[in-house]
Amino acid sequence: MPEGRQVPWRSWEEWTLVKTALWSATAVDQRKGIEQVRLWRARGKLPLSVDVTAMLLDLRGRHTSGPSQSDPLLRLQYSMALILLVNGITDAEQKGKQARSVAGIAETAGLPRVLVDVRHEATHRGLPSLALLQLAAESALQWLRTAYWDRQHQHLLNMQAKVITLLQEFMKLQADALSRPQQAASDTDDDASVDPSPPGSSPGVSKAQELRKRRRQLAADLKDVVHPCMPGLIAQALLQPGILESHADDSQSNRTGVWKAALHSLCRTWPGLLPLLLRESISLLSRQGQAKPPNQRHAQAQHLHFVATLVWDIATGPRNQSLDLSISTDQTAVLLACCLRALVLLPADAAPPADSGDILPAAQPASIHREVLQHLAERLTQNMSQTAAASDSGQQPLRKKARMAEAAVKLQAMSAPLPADNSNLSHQGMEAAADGEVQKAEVLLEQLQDKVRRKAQAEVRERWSVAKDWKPCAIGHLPGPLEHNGILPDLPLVCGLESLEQQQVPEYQQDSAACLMLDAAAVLLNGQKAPSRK
Amino acid sequence: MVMASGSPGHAAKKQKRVINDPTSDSIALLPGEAYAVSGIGTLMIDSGEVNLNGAHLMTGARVQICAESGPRGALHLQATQQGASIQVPYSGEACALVELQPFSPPVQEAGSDRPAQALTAVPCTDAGWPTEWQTALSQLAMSAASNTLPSPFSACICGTRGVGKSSFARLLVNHLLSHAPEVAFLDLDCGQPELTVPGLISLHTLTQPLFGRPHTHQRPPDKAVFIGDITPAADPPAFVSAAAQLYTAYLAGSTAQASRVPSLVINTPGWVKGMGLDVLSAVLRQIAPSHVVVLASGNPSKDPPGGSFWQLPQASHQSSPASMVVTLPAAASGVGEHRPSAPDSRAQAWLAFARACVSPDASATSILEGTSASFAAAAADLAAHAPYVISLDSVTCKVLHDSSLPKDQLPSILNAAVVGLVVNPGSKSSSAGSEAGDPEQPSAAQEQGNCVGIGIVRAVDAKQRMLYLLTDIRLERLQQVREVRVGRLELPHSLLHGGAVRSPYLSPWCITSSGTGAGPLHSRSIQCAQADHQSAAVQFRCSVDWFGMGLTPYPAVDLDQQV
Repeated sequence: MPEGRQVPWRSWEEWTLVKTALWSATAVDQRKGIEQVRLWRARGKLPLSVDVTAMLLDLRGRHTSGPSQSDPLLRLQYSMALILLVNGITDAEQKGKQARSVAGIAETAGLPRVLVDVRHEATHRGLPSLALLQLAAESALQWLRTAYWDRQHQHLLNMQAKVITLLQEFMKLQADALSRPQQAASDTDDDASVDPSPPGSSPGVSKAQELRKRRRQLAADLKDVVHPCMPGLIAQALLQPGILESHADDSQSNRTGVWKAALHSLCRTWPGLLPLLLRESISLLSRQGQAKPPNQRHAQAQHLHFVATLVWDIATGPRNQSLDLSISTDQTAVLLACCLRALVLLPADAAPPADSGDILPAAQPASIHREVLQHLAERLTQNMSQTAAASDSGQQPLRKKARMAEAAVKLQAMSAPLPADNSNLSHQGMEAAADGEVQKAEVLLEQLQDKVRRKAQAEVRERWSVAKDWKPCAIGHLPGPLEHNGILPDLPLVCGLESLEQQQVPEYQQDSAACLMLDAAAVLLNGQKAPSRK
Repeated sequence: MVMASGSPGHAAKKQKRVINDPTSDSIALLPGEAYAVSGIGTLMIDSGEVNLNGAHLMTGARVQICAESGPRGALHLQATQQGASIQVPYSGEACALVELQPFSPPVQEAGSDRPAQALTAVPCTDAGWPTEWQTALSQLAMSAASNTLPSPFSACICGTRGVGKSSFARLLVNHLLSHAPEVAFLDLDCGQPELTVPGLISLHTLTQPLFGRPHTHQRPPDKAVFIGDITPAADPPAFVSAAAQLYTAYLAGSTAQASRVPSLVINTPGWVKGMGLDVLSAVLRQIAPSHVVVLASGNPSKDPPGGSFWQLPQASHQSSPASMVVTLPAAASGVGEHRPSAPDSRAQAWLAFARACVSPDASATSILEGTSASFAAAAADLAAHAPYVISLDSVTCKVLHDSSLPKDQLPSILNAAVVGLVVNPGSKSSSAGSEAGDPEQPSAAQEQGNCVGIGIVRAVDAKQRMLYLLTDIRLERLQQVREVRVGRLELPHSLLHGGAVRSPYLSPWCITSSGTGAGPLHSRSIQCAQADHQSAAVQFRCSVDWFGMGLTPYPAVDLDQQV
């Protein structure tokens, strides 16, 4: 099912939010879920089970909250919802020429018998009593929960687990292949180009063929589960602890070889994987797992550092003719912005205190993360300053981080050109910050932010025009800096639905120039307080 | 029609080749000789006069053709009798000389490496339609030309699915255009329209004959109303009033411009049973066309009833003159002929629309039948094309089937929706009936805004308050659009993914819908419409007046008393 089904929700995250809301204990949260389903209904293609669940919960909520409706009206509504459910489930199964009995189909689908009887009574005789309808509604809700909601939820979990398992196997096969010297050379080549070996070849060769065959099969299985338009999912899965840690004991060179080969191979099916992998690493580094013991955290950070460096090496390394793995300047700018932002977002207590530079605890929680991020940012900046040809700034005795931030701002300005005086302003702001004139910097940055805001307001389009600088992206998406498929626009959910989510994930989407400026300034200010650990 | 079989036909064609040019093919037409033309290319009349699917073409005429082979698809080419004798090498005397030319540069089906089917002409013995049609078409054309009718000539073509309404309408348009410079066309089939994408009903002024399947000649309407669905079933009164509104526009527009009112051809939905017949009857009562052409399949359980079936029994012999009912047999369907299903032809219409969005100037004539590769290519092009953009605050948005949705939630509904673009939104909701007045006359309050076209909201940026739209209409026209309407229209699945992109609303990892209710409720209404509830429906039908329905609510009954 690589194409997928048309649904009213934009992501499974949204679906999960609604699931949580609908089945929550409080009436207020349930209401939010019901309202969101109403929006979905207006979008169309609403699954029957979602539809009926919301209807029944709505009726139950209204009924228990007070006698707002007349008894017959309530019975009508209950009856209609239940008829829809039973007919919808059974009609879909009427595939043969001879119509099967409703009861027979319902039994196969596990629909409670009471629903079939209530449907029969409501359609052919008269409205069943409220007591019976409520009983039926409860059993219908129970059925909906197990047959649809829980089952779909479990399926999502299974699929996520499957992706990780497949990737683990894939990496293992890569490692096996690498351990065979005759195989190593052909590893980075296209898996599809298998040279037919002569009959009666040595067992070693046939074993290698066997390996290749299995790897191809694995890649195909993986492609069935994760569509080539969704490299983000692969990136997330690749950084899961299970995959990272499976190679912890390998030697450094071996590990590099395995990952290199695997990434090359994966990039063929999921183009655009590399920048997403970098972004995902940065995002994980900034969200350090609090629950984990410090030594594991340290190992994780090192793994992430290993992957991020490797990705960057591949992207900036020699060009592969058949496969473009490079990361564009625009993408580098966005990644750098993510990096700087992550540095800002790292909790302040994690930074070593400015005045106690003598003894540091053995595993300072965030210091390793900070270090890794700084290292990444440095490498990104190096690349940026090379491509941006901003060579003169190197002569200035500006601090490393100031150069970093400056380059980021410059590149941001390149992708969304600001008037000349603005870049001047940002420059002044940078210098003021670098010189420790915090207040002056803040004033200047305020001014810049104001300008950017005014520019955005002036661009409000009252008449139709052709969008500028459009990048290809899927229908329903906006162009994204890193994703070929684009990113989901920030669409409103029913008020308060998001808050049901346990943890808010910080966003690493397109930053406006002003936002980036603030971030950069924060890095600068922060950087002055924190002594360099190098 | 019987195709001249294999080699003799081919030999005959070879003999007629008079110009030794590999890129073109010339045919000398003898009196009474007929050819079936199919494929893609340009047909030129070098000399003489010919009749191509009812259209009278003079010397020097050039027609772009995109027609399928087979009895229903191929175009019927014949020399008109009065053509002067022309000396042709090898063939002696002929009435007309016709040249078939491929497009230059040759059209290639997107996503496929083989060139499109070349234009060919094969001798044939009869036209692709019943002989009764020919007589009727001539009579209708004569009647339109004679100008003796009390009202303007208007022919409404009805019949169940697959009887050839569309083909007949095209032939009639072509016949009428042989006698008049322009013909008005009222397209009331919002499921499979002749001249637009699905979801709207529209009024057109045609000056060129129509050849080929609907998706090959989509055009911007003179005036249209957005129905927002592929059937009138969701809101029959609104549909009927929209049809009446367009008819009024036809009358008003034609009296203002021309001294002589152009003839009108009306295409109707194939839903002629049950509620569909009620809707059709209500429309016919509103418009009162001079002619009603009923194409009968011969199966009474599928055909509309005979006679003036639309007249209410109590309101017979009213002010409007009686319409002339012409009953004709259905078009013969060839053996093993490929007839696309309704969703398939809609998908073809959307494909043509998608291509027009990306390159408005390209001719739609180049598409014979989109393959899955051409859908994928069009989807990728749509994803890459720079859309139009406007502030969300500068347009209003209306959800046709749920007008009470909170305003701040509209972006979520608009994202990736297919919308109607409306220039002068009416003041009242379409489903509300007027409180007073003649039920047969639509009041001004029911006026539904003029829909200038259809658009795909390719993204909504709620943060920046921007709406990004893909449409085939031009920017100048778009500037007038002040409202977008959301109905239940959907792009085909195949246009939502292609190349390196895939819509977020195409969700992977869904569980099976069987026995879980994980899929949407299947619309059984279509199957119900096909089912034969004949006798009961006919007896009951006359008492239902859809147009007046909204005005006579059922008396309020206390439900408790019934229990």
